[in-house]
Amino acid sequence: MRRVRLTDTTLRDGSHAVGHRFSLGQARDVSRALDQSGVPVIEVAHGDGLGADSIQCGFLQSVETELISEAAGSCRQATIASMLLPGIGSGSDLREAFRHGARIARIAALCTEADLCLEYVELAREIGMEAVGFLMMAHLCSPQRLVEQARLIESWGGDCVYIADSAGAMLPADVRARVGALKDALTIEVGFHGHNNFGVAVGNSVAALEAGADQLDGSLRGLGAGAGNAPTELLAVALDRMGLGSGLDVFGLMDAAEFVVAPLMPFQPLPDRDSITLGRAGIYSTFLLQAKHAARQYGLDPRDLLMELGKRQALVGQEDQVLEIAAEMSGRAQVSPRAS
Amino acid sequence: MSAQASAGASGKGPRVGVAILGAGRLAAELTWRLQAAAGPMRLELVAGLAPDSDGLRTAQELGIDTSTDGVNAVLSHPQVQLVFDATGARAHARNARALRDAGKLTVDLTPSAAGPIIVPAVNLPAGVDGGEVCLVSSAAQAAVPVACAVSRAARTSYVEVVTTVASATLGRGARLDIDELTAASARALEGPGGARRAKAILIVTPADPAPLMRCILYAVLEAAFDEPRVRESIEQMVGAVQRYAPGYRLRRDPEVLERDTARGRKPVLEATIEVEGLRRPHFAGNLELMASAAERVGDRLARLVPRASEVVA
Repeated sequence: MRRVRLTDTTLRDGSHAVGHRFSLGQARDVSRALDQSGVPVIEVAHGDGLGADSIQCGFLQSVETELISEAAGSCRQATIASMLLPGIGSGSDLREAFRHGARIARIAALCTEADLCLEYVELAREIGMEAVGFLMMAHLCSPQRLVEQARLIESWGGDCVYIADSAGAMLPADVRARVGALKDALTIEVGFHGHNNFGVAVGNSVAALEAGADQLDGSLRGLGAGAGNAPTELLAVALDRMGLGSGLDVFGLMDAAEFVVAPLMPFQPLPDRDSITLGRAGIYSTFLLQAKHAARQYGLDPRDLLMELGKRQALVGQEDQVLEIAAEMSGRAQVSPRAS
Repeated sequence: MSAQASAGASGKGPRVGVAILGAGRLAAELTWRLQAAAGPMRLELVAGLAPDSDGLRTAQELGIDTSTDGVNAVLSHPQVQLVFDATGARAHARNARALRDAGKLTVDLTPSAAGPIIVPAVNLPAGVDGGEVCLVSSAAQAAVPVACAVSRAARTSYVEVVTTVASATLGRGARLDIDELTAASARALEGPGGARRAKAILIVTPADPAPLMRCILYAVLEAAFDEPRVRESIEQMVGAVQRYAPGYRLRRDPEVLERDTARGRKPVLEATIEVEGLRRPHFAGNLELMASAAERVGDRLARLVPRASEVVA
């Protein structure tokens, strides 16, 4: 029987939605609940990946390696994954994550820049971690272009390539075309990571399964950037209905979402006006909270700011641009070259 | 100015023979720069491995000798005393010892950063004893001057730099060095940049049209600080960089804001540096800045090395 591997990213993507304020106790409770419900992989990191603790990306309330240790120590069967964005995190961060219990390295780059992952895919394999290539903002690439980038990851010995709809900008047909193209072209596994900005994160994940996806990402209650991710408890239901959910305790996950994660959420991510705009603008879901904040500060409509960020193709790690563009739009701070 | 330096500057005696090792985008930019330079260096050779590469093509078009025998061609070239290594961190690690043993001075443009880190506006080399100086990265070349200017005028506990470069300016070699590049850029901020602790982030953007290279620098200020003094220090430093890299500038006046830091709310200075390419596409300011720094450092070293003719005499 076909086995689909579920990775829960509450403790990584969800970090954005809680302002990077997970406590060690929360990491323990969430991982334990996921582990007991049979989720095979639990991802733990700063929302922008290992080593992203910074003024630009936001500081974690807890020490990242302690969050990983805590999660690893709370699991009987689940494997801990962590994420690294080349340019933000470093090889030593990955080694430290491994030392504290992470066994799967998800190396994430923009879908046009897969070759930035090579050094880290090699490192992951060298230290004995499973290596996943995670191609972000996959709506920007045609299926053919994605195949070219995914083949690089396969050629370096990656174990899986993920298609990440980081902007929540895809519809099921977009997902089907991309997952299908990768499945046809690759021998390694293919995964899908959805965001719910158009309200179709679960539908997109089902489309990915229909196109042959081997791995899926979710988070409890959808806790994640933008409108959140595909809720893990709903993916469990879908997998169950499709006869692919071996080993997952659907009720256990519903309980974990309701009683462990919901109480710690500052808000329920959902496709509201700003999140939908984010998907329309095709920008990283991580910009949502910054844009809301900047819009308030400069008296702008967040929707106008988000659309402008989309026009300028702002990327993760360019959080400073949110404030700069907001300032420009409000006309309160002029941006002028100083030297000619 | 020393007697040696003035002799070099006035062009007396033979110019010092130099070679470029590497054939990527940076090597191409540096080739163009050095063949046009009127200083104490004479570009003798560009050596790479791949015949069909940016660097070798550029050199051939300009009438410079090329070789596809890489470091061996440089080692065996009798006129070459100074080598610009624009390969990659791994290749440089292999080349460094051979170059040193052959008595060739090296300006390392890769992020291997094994020797002293030089940023011309901050610390030009005083001598040639070490055999090698390192320029680290365009991020370091752009951000270290401002970090240094801040740390000269105020106590800073932490400096963070986020550099964005256009995807099209990053060749294959640079992409395999991203880990070395971010780590070494942070070390440069802590060394010549004077930061007690530093972090460097690199963002590669495929945005179309490609944006200019930019660095946003955050410096956490400790205790009381004299804001006008910090601003003046930065302004002077930017002027010093502009003397060899005219495309370098602040995008706007630096701002001091209370921000979240690893140790709670603190005043944080934020400066945005922009580097425009003046010759290449405007977005390739990173390549031009590295070439400008390399030329400046090369000029200085060339004035310090004993001329081949003097050695023979």
